Amino acid sequence: MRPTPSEVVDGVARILRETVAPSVADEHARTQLAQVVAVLRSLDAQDARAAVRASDAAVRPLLAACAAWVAHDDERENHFDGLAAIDDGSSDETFAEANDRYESQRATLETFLSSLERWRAEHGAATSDDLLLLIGRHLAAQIAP
Amino acid sequence: MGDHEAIARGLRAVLGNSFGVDDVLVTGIRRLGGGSSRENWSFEVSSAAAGISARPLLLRRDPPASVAETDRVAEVGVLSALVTSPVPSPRILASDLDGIHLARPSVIMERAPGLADRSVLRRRDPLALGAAGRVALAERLCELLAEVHRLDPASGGLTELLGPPPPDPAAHEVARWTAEIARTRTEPLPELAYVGLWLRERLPPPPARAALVHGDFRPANVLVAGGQPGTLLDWEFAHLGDPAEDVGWYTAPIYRNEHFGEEATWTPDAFLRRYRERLGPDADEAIDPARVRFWQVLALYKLSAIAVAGVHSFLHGGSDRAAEPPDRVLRLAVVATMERS
Repeated sequence: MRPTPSEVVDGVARILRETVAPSVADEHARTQLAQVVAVLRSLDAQDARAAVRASDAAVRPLLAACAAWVAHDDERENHFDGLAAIDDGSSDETFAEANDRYESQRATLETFLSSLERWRAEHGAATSDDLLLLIGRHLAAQIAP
Repeated sequence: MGDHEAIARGLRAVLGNSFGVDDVLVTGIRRLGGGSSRENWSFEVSSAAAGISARPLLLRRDPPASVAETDRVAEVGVLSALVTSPVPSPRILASDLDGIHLARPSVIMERAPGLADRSVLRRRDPLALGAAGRVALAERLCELLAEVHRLDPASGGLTELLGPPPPDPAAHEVARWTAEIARTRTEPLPELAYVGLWLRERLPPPPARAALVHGDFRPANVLVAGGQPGTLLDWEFAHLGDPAEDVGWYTAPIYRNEHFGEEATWTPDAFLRRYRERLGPDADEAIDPARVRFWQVLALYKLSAIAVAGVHSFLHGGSDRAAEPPDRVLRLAVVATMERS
């Protein structure tokens, strides 16, 4: 996840300080602005941690399906790599730890898609159409309201 | 240099040089909202020597870090070429393309009358046009796009200014935005790897006739006055290419409400019919369903690239626009590949 919650807070605080504050002449408004920044900095990252952990859990069966497709024959095994399983995180891991693992999963999927594109160009699309559809459905699954 | 006084000093220098006078007075400098790839500043200029009194102008200046790499010289060239065309476009009065006086590449243009509002076609009706007025405006906007595409790039000098169109515009645009994503990404983006694959496997053949592509044609970039479209703004993405690119951009699912409002009579199909009526058989290729579908997905890919670049600028302190994770547009891009045409 980028920006992370703490990066959003830092960036918004910078914009308020550098762009908004110089144009705020009223003393009361300046005080309130400082308060807004302080409140932003107090925001909890727990929601983001839970969201990242849920997304991480959802991508695991997809990567397992990709690994199973690769294991079908030696030619695929030789073409694809990097689908090694990543350990589950502990239940008390921090947001940063959960986010690092989630990004690793997404990097694995991204690399797999690049390899799959080359595979389809060289071997035709038919044998991987179902797998590609599965990946697309996963990536499209979590539309924000 | 970000303060009003420094900008006023720069404007006096640039306009003084342009007008050939030394009594330029700049007043009412105001940073306008919006503008993700340019800063927009409105102001008035006066000069007794030049016979100008409180003339409304607009400064468009590069931000410290843009969300998309665009060519200032080409943009100025396009606007210069359009002065004699039927397409209403901003008139440039002066420029500081090296940022000598205004710190960053800048263009000064006339401030035309009218209001550009992204929700002008929506039911909340910010210009109080009424339902029939909104549909009539939407039809005029379609006709304006057709007018842009009707221009002959060769006779207007656009080919000289922009260079010849790429031999394969679709492949060119996919490569362009893929490179932009690679340049600005701050995290793995499997959604865009997926959409990029989809696009590269479905490249439409080059168009029979290249056209001037606006690159960001939408209600938010058209000044509306008296219920009629006036000046067409924001030409920074303009290039020669496939006119279906603008058609796909305008009809992309993500813009459905903004570009078509909530009136049942004005739909993407109605838009394509009106476009065809204005351009005749020349439009057939640009409204071909498979071609439009490709460019609709490309539109989401491009919007995703811009969102990713916005995150990059935000994280690196180059933008005063806050950015949130671009998850929604990334996923909508994937969804667009799965929708029925």
